Amino acid sequence: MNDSDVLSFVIVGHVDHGKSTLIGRLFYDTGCLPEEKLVEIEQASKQLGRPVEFGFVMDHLREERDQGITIDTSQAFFKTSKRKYVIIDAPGHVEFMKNMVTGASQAQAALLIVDAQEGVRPQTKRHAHILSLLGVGQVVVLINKMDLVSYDKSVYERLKQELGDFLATLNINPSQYIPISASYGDQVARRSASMPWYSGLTVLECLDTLTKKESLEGCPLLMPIQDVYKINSKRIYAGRVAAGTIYAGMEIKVMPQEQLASVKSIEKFLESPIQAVAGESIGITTTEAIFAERGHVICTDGHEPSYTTRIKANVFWMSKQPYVKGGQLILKCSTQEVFATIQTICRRIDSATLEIIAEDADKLKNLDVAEVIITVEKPVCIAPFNDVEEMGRFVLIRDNDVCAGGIVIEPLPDPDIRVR
Amino acid sequence: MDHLSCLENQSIYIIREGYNRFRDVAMLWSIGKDSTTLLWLIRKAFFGNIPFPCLHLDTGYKFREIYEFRDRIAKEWNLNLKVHKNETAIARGVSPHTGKLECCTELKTNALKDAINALRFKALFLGIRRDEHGIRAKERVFSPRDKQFEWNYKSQPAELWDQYKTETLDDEHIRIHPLLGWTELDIWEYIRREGIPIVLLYFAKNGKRYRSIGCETCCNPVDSDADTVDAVIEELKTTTLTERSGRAQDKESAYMMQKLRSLGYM
Amino acid sequence: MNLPKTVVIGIDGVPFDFLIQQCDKKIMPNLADIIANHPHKKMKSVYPAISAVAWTSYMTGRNPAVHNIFGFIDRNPNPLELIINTGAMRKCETIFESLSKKGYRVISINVPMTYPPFPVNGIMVGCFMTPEISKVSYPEEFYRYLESRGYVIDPDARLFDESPDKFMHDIHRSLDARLAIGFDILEDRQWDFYQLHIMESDRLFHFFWDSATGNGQYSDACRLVFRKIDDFIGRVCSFIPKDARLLILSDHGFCKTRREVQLNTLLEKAGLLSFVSGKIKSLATMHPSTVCYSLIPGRIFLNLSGREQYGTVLQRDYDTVRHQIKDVLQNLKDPETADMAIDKIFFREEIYSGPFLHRAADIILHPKNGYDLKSHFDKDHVFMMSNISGMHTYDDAFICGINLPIEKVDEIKDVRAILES
Repeated sequence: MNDSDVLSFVIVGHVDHGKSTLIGRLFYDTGCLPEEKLVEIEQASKQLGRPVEFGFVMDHLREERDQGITIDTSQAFFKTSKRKYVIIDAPGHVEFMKNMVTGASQAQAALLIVDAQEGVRPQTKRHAHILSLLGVGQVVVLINKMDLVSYDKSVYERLKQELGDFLATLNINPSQYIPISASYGDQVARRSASMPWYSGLTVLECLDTLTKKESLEGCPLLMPIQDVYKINSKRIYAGRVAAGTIYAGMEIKVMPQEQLASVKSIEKFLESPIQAVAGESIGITTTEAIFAERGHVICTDGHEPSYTTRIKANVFWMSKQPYVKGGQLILKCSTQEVFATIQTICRRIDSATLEIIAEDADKLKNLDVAEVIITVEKPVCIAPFNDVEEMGRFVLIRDNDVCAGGIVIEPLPDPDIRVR
Repeated sequence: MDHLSCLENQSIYIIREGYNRFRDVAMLWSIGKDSTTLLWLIRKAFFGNIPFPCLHLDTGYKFREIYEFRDRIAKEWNLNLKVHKNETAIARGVSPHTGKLECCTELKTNALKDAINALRFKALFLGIRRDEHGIRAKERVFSPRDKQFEWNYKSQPAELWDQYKTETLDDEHIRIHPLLGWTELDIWEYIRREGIPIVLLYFAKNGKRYRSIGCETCCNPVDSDADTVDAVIEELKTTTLTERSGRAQDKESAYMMQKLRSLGYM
Repeated sequence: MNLPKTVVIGIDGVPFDFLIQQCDKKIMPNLADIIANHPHKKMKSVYPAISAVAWTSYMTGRNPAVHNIFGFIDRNPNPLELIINTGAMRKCETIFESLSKKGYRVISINVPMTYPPFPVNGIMVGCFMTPEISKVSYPEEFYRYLESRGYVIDPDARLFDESPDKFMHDIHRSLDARLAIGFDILEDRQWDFYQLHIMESDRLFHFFWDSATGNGQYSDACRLVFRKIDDFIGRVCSFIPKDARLLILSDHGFCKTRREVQLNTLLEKAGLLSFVSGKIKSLATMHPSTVCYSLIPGRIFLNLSGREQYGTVLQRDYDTVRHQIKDVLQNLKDPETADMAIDKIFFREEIYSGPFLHRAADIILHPKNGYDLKSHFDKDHVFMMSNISGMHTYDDAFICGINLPIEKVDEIKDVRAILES
């Protein structure tokens, strides 16, 4: 096992469709459940005259959380022979969408779980919708509780069809649809004798096929400036390389002022690197004096991100207080921060059904997804989310709190600025 | 990029965000392995010139080794060290011998309140990790505290991607947790990789070592022969589960507690 | 050996009026026959009116300051920690032990606070607190018989949150097993004193009060529970000899819950309870400046210096402070209806007496019917709704006896005396 390989994934789906049972089962089948917990669960199950009930794992954890009792470090993670995994807890209840969004935004992949008996429910769809909105592209669908439908292939096929059609409208193309019984362990870590008709992967095998995000080293350079430090008379522009590679001697361009300069040095404490790649938090100095500050973006000539005051985007509104068109917001994208207003609400969509609630609407309500046009007070560097994630995602702030997350569909022409 | 480098870069990003958004910040340095790792990362973030104070809440009951280490490192790394003591409580005779809870409350919690109010910090860097405590699994990277220093863990701000809660009301402050996604093992492996100095109490002497350090009066060593960083890492990898295997008595009462709670009798 | 054979059937928490109605509605024809010909009456429970305390008072014939069980949970004052009471904490002899000593054969099944099961001259099957079946019985090996018969210790109330259907199903599963196995034991084994306890009624009232007492989704399922109990009563009556004694009783009554009242939240808002900041509010994180705190149900403990680990209330202020707290509590009103929530406020010495009085709460509250007193540490509101629909009451337990002088019984602790004479 490569010790340093860690993949984080989120389990989403309607409440009661078996998220906690699956988590318990994954811990158990990978041997990551502390023995004393296992004994406890076996006893509790036995006493109730049931097979070992894995939902109890999470019940116990939750119980512990509520009580503020220490949980063993190993329980946050589980391992397969290939790598370590971090399971991100995403509440299934509609009340906790804010937390679900927080969890999902940190995940590299998602397992979408559906109850074979109950089928697709509102939160199933809403969660899928959020995944698509947040750009969590790697999705595996688990059709759970197959034991309750007698491991019937036709139930699986029907749900696969139904979900597939739905997910296609969200541009989600799941790598697998796995029929499982988290309670009995069918198709989680071991193949199921009850489902000879299914020849695909188990959940664990499938997790091991998930990939981490592709390295962006080969892309054109983008480095939003985070801060400027003056240290020993050196001006150091600090930031994290969002895409591409930067090296000493490189010709760079600083947006929005389109100032050209060359990199004098890459700065890291106690190191003298000659280059840095996407993901690295570094500092740079320049040969020529430049005026640059937080929010400015370093790129290369010919590969500038768009620079505009009008943005077409999808947003997810998650504040109980509705938004009335024209109200003032703050938009934060990467290290940029500007006043913004939603100028047009092109379409309001029910996040659970995908139905269009209204076109050219005046208001946004809690849990709405909407296609909107945002205008910002001064130009920002942005890019379509599908091109450069870091420059294509943003949050909206109102009254000191994040009230929406969004991704850029496309920059719109600004009458006063030329758009590349 | 390997896992430790990913963690390092992410932590540096968070540290720089915190400083940029608030400026009036400090880090809480308990001199333990986690906050010393945090201190190391902060040095890296600012190229060795930490632009804010390192706050040590001194209860007066810390191990001698901790004081020695603190003063040596503060000098070597040229830290702006601020040592804060709740002198009024000490003068009143508060000590571990008169009551441990009151002692902690007065000499740590209230000392921190005093320090924040006196030095007017808007944000504080802390070295907590998600895997330490059950409830910490719910923590945010930027986590607001109200006037009373309360953490409203039932309703926390959304935290998307790398966009953190940086807007506060006047009487709030923000706890910033750059190490939140690290595990205990990550910390040790990073200490090894970077050669970060830590207090020697973490290493076994006569079959015992400390897994966490604080006040001499309230810390107990664990049985261990791990006397080097390598040995500690090996120990952590092999003994993760046995540490807290509860006694039969505890399991039974856990079951009963759950039973009573489900019936509303608790 | 001069006591006639005795059977006791405990039906947990069933109110007097409710049983009478079931008889009138012909849901319980066997019980109807009994009450038509034998004395029956309302009986008082104990303060606080909960099974752990009530059944311990029943089996010992003593008040809590003698038997030492004041609730399902308790706290150690120093070091301060929550403890769960089991039968092991009981400080005096039970009727089961004293009859055993006299040579009577005793069988007891599922009576609350009989975990861990203790030695008797016969068989003891422990109560719903038993964590696993292998620990449920004295003699220990008897569990194998129970296990082979599919005995169920207790329905799992956690199922209710998952689905009320599942929980109802579990109630029936557990009741069916208990009544079937219980009757076989009655038939097959030797006994002079046989007691079987039905816990399922209490669960039903807590979670399905509306269906149990009116017309609801689960009314049929609730009626069926009482039909099954009545059928058991009928079979017992036709099996036991004519001169045998039969006692049917409950330990407290029930009523609909209007609101849960979070006493700790109230105390906190009144400035009497505070917590170390930055920590989750709990017993363990109380601030030393706390004046008092509460444990379920309705018990208030002073943070008394010299007794409590972080105690700060001075001994000499004990009575003054108790009166101050009483003043804060006695006018507590439901904010919506302005109805009073507290019925009585006792200082412990007013209702208890005995060697363990010092372990009792300093103040014991008894609520008005409908206001269920809770003591969570981390709730935001004093008055709350809950998924628990029914709560215990004090003065309408049921008792009825054949060949027993039940007129001598006023409250549940009086029962033991009539059984032993």
